[in-house]
Amino acid sequence: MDPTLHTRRAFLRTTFLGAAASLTLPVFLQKTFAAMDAEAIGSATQTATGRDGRVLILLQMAGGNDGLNTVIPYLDDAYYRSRPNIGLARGEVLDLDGTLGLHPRLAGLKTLYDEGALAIVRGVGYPNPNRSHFRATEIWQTAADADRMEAHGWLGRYFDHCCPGADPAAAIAIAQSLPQAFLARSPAGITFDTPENYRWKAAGQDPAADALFQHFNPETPGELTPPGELGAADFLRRTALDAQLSSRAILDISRRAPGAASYPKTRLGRELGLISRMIAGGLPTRVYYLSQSGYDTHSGQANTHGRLLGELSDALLAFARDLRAQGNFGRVTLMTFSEFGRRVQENGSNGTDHGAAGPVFMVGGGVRPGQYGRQPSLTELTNGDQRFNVDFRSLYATVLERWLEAPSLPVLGRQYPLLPVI
Amino acid sequence: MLPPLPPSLWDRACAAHLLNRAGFGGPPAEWEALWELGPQGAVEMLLRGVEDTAQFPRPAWAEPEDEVAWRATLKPLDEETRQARQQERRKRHERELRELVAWWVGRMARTPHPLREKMTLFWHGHFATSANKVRQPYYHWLQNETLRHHALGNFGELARAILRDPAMLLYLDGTRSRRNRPNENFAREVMELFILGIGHYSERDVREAARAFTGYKVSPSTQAYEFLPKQHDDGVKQLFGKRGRLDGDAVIEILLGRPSCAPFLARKLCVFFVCEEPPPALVATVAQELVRQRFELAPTLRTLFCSRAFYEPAVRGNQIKSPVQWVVGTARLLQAPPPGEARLFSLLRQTGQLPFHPPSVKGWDGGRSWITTSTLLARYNAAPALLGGKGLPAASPLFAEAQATSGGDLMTLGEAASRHLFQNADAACEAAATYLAHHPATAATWGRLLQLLMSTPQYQLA
Repeated sequence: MDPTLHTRRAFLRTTFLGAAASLTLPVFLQKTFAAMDAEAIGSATQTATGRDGRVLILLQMAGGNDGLNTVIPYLDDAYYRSRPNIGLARGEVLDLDGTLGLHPRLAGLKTLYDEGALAIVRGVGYPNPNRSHFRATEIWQTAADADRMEAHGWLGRYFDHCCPGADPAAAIAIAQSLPQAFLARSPAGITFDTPENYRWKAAGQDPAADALFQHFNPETPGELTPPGELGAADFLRRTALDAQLSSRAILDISRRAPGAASYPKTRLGRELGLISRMIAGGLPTRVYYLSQSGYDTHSGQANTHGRLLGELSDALLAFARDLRAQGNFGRVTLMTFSEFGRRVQENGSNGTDHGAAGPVFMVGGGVRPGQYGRQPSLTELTNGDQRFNVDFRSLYATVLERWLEAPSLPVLGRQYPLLPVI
Repeated sequence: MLPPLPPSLWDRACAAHLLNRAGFGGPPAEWEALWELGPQGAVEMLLRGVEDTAQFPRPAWAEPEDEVAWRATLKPLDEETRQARQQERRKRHERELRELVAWWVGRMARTPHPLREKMTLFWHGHFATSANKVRQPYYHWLQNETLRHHALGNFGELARAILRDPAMLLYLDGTRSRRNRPNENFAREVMELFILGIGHYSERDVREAARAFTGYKVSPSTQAYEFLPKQHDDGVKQLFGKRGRLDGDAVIEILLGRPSCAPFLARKLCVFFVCEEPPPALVATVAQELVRQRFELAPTLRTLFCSRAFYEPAVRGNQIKSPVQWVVGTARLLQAPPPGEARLFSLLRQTGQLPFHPPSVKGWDGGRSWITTSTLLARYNAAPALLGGKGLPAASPLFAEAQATSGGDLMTLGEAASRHLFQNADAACEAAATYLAHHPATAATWGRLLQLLMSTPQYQLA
């Protein structure tokens, strides 16, 4: 059987929005679906999901993370020559293997590394790196070559190719606006900054207003034509229905008690806590996207960078603990990325300027722990920047093929070597 | 030739449809007036428009900056001061860009020449250039003016103007293209996205054209286009069977003569003005018209807007409004200003069409891709902002007008609301009347009714 068909069918079956997604079903069966879904949502952990239950989380360290002060080659004299003021002392770093150490604020990640739940991929980048935040982010989000403009995001293409007609909750981005990674021919996915904003806000204030709203935005899709033949009006009505159902489910989950897990009281902590509840709540989401901003450390970098890494590390450790307690850690892979690393040579303001290659962290029960890629040289540089040795699209291909079990060629347009990290 | 709409079929709904598509829609009085002109008269009126240049003076900051002088002022500074200056300048550019978005949306919302602005928007999606790469707002203002100048003119002239457009030269690396190292970015997109369509050229054509496009530069001191003969490869090139010392204009001339050019542009025009999947026969006929008119846009559009195909029942009310059309159309319907600068910027970004920020050189996908659960909810939740914010002030004059003509009858009021928002008195009149029966007859009630009617799938269609 065509694997994409299989995925799609299994997807429709397990989705809590099955009722909305399969419009040809008679209404009573849709109700049964809805009841089953309500049950699944009510239970603490995900009901049987099997191979379809894998979740990918992308975390952007926005602004350009200083990878060299994140994973530190503390034996390399060139490091201290380039970073006389902001270099981290040998005694401070959290040693990984006798040559590399993590930033002292990454204690949580060090714990995960020691527990075998963290992989570090070094020297990730791409040819002819771009040093503009916007363009470099665009390149990472669309998986395009540096000199090509690609409209759709790599995850958008994944959904277009591998899960057409998927539930809108198949992808969720916690962001102000749709990240370009999700942009697609038929955009899938839900975007909200907080769940409270992902709803029709005028609801519940006036029964006559609610009645009028329901009149035009009915919750029973009864007479709609099957997907694929939808006219624009039907398509809009169906999207309105999907919006109401998914909004209710997400709000319901977000308002639940966070359980026993305790997260740091940072934005990242709150957002990962929400994602954990959404995973536990049985949303059919395959991909989550979130970002932590502030990494653009041109001056006085030490404090800012340390605080950001600390927040990242603490939140990721809490998240891993929480997922383990739920029994969901094995279903989840989280991958960080940053649009670029920073210049090797520190600048005159105790900061660093835009650079190129950098490290990527991967966290999860399915990750093969350890280090991948080579630590880029600090003496053989291109325009003062470290050279990449792992194309970021190799990581995307690995995640697509080994984790999401989807062919990477139609998504990335080229076959990239896979890494044994999953 | 496209069969024209028989005069007997021309009714008010046709006029409303024409105004929605060839413009951004408007209140009933506006399409009533168009209806009275008859189909040809109405189309002429839209094509001619009313010159609005004096009404929309250029933003005060829209002047070139001398990059060379700027760099010279930075040179003597210590690094910290220099970074502070650069940061300041970036912030200023961001502010100006927000102003530019509001300036253009405001112009679309108030212009007496809506078709020209609609076509300017079409060209912005066609020759898409993004501020994510080209940061200086002046370049975008300048390109916007160029697109407007040629909006209803000749496609060939527009293409030649784009070859010399500083924003485009920077966006597609024309400025980095040198005689001995031609950059193929612009040459490829000219063929793939601007003139021919994918699959209608070879890699060799791209390479040869890239040589012809060398030397087209932007002067850093004037931020204007300049041709540098020393950077131009004036050797013999060969593409599509033509040989010679071709320059950029010669290449564009060759491309315009290729058989795929007219169908490619015709299809884009049909998708923009008619429907998401235009019938091949319609595209072919519009393409013939383009060729017959030597790529003059106004006469081609005249034929399209007068055609029977344009007014087919399946075409009408079946186009998903782009976010810009939705904001501008609402402003025109309500005769109220669009939301303020900051709100407007975030609203258009949230709903997926921030002018000057297309996702790539391919422009926006449009059609159904405008609508996701998130963008639809964002549109629903933005209805109060489009009605003027707190208290929904934009509804007041409309209420006074409806009250005066209805004599307070609820069904008549419901019809008025429905007609105003949906160009169709029946679409919502009963539901609206039921709502009104539960509330006092005040402007505030009317405002909330309009807000509700805008929070519907129907309102996203034109």
